[in-house]
Formats: sequence, structure tokens, C-alpha cells
Amino acid sequence: MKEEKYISEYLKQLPAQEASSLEQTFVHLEHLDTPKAKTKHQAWEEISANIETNKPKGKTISFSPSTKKRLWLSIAAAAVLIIAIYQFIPKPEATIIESPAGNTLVQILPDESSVALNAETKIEYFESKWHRKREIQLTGEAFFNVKEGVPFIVNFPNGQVEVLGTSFNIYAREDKTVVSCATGIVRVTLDDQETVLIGGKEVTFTKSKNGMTNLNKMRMTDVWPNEVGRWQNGEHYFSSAKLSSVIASLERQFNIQITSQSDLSERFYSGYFSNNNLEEALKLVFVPMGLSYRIEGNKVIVE
Amino acid sequence: MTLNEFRNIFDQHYTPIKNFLYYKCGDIALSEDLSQDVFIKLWSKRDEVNLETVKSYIYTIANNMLLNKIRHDKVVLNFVERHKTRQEEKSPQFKLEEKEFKQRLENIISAMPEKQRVVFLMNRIDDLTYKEIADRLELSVKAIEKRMHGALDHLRKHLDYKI
Repeated sequence: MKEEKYISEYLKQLPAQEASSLEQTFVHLEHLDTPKAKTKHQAWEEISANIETNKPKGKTISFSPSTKKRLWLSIAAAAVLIIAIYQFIPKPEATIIESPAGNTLVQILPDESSVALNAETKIEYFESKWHRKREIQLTGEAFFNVKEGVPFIVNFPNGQVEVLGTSFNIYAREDKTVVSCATGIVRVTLDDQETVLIGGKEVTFTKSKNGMTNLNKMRMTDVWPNEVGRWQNGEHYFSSAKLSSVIASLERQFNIQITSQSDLSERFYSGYFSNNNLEEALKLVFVPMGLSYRIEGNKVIVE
Repeated sequence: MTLNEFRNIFDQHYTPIKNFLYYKCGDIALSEDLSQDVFIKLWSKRDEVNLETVKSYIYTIANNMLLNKIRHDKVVLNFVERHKTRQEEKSPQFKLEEKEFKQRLENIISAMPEKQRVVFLMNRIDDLTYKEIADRLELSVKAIEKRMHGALDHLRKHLDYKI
């Protein structure tokens, strides 16, 4: 050991007698120890008693959840809190307006925008959220006159129309959707495709299927702004429309049922009818098509 | 620092710390009390303590605690026999001589300058190497050697040659 070498070198320099007495001292010291009033074990007992009563900083060693555990605990606590709070929040109630067959109606929305519902049309919106987000669910046909403000969104089965302030008509029934813009600009999303329509434009989206293949068609056409939403005056115009959809329109306007004995699916109609006289309307549709019909109560049979 | 780490530090250092304090003040009861205080303080500072420097840290605490306690100008050290069984083989005459020698040695060591005494006894009684002593007291090995040399000089000067 280096230390022993150091000492023995020191001893070597000394006279023999001095060296031997120092050496003896070291030997003697080897057998000596410091006195003890208490054992090491007692000392530990006393220390641990003191550190246990004296937990500093409110921090515990044995029960300290790991960071991960703490994260889960806080997530759980937050979840419980959120659920508890949710119980006390009144659920916003949707306003549902539905127009029956044979009837149209006009609804004034909370911001004084108006929506006219054609027959057999349903809209749904949340009045409580209206000031933040003007959003409406639509099925059927409606003409909107939108006041300027926060974005106005109309959702319908095949897409969405978003506007700021304008007037436009949406026809969204079955496989066909037509968005006609009378004034202003609307952004139309149909089948995930976005189109911007200015006043006087109309987009028609037809959904059709051939087996497994989707044959969706989108077509943009011009429209006279004052013709948009003309159904509100009871006037119904068609140009190369499927006869089946004209018949469906007659059924809705007059709340009748039309049954046909022949296949009319490949026939198209261009023309007009008004909803104030059933007999006249039937004449205007079926006579040009070369079809005869008879009325039985609220049923019409086409031959 | 976990409780386990703390326990290990205590096991390793309680006796050397207690001895260190005893070499300085010659009061065993005080040394034991202060040693306990050193470890209680270490535990309270466990968040700030670096395990690599904890050795010198506890010696610094011990030294400061002692300085705050008393002035220990006159130190009287007493030692006890480490191996009691071996003594029984010795003659009463030898025992007496040994006892006298021990007494003299205690006086000489007590009279030694404190710095030399502490280093000398840490090496001789606690079996610490110069390097270990240097680490604990935050001194260089050279300084330890110097103090050892002084301690040996002191011993040599005061020993009665005719043991």
C-alpha cells in the first residue's frame, strides 16, 4: 500500500530506536478504536425516527405515484369531472320545421334570414348556437335568403352549401341535388367536390349507380336569378326533367298519389304547372306527353 | 436520493464521520449526536444532493456543525481496545505497560495539531487511504501527505524511546 510505503520510508530516515518505537506505536494503534456511547444500530434507529416525523417538503418516498400513473389519474379525474358537468348542461334542443305534402311555409331564422320550405321538406337547426354558427340540416327543397353575418351553412344528404349573405335555392331529394344561386356567391360541396356558384348559376348533381360503379354527374348551367325559387309563388318549371320527378313534384304539391300503368322512367318533360289547380296542372303535364289519366279521390291513375 | 441509497450512505459513512468528529473534539457523546444530525440534514437536502459528491458533502456538514457547537481548544482523546480476546493471553505486567503506553499515546495524539491529528487517525484508525481522505476533506493527496508527515514528526518528538 502506498501509505505504508510512505511511512516505512519515513521510518528509514530515522535512527533505529526512534523508528522502532514509532513502529510499535503503529502496531498499538491498530488495536485501538474510538469509544462508543451507542451502537451504529441505535444511531440508525434514532435517525430514521427523526426523518419519519420530519418529512420535509411534504414529499413522500414510498408512496409517490410515477409520472405515468399520475397522468392516468389526472385523465380519470378529468373524465369524471367532465361527465359530472355534462349532466348539468341543458342539452341544446334542435328546432325542427317540417312542411307536409301540399303545403309550403316560410320560416324566419333567428338572425332574420328566411327560409321557404317547399312541400315535404324538413329543416333542423340549433337556435342556441345560431349566433356562433348558422348551420341547417335540409332534406327536400328550400329557398334561402341569407342576411350577412357569420358563415351560413346548409347541410344536405349529398353535400353542403356555405355562404356569407345571399339568396339561393337548394333542391335535395333522393338522387338529385340542385343548388341554384340567385344573388351573391355560394360555395357548394357536392360529393366532396367544391364548386363556387355566383348569382345566375346552378349546379346539378345526380347520383346514379351501375352495379358497383358510381356514375355521379355534375353539371353547371345558367339560370335566371328571378326564376330561382319560383316555386314560392306556386309556379313549377321544368326543363328536360325526368317525368318521374315531375310526377313526384305533383304528388307533393297537391298531396296526391299518382300511379302509372306504363313505364315512364325514360320520359322527360319540359314545361310548367301551377299549384293552385290540380286538374289544370295534370292537364299541363300529361297532355303534352300524350298520356291520359283519371282522378279517383286523391289518387290519379295514368294510363 | 431514495431511502435505500440513504441507508447505504449511512452504513458506509456513519462510523468514519463519527470518528472524524471525535478526532476533532474528543467528545464521543457530542460526536455521536452530531453524526446523527449530519444524516438527518443530508436526508432533508436529498433533492439537492449529488450522489457523486455526497462523501465530501457530509464531511463539510459535520465540520460546520462542530464549528457551530463549541470551541474545542483542549481535546482529550480516549481509545478503546479493538480486539479484547487477544489481551487475555498477555501477562498482567504487559497489560499494565500497554495501558500506560496507551495513555501516553492518547496524550500525544490529543496534543497533536488538529489538522494533522484528523488525517493521521483517519488513516490509522479508519484505514482510509490518502486518496480517500483527500476526497472526503476536499484536499489534495499532497496536502494529506504533508499532514501525515507533520503527524509523524509530532509522534516521534513526543514518544518516550524506552518503551
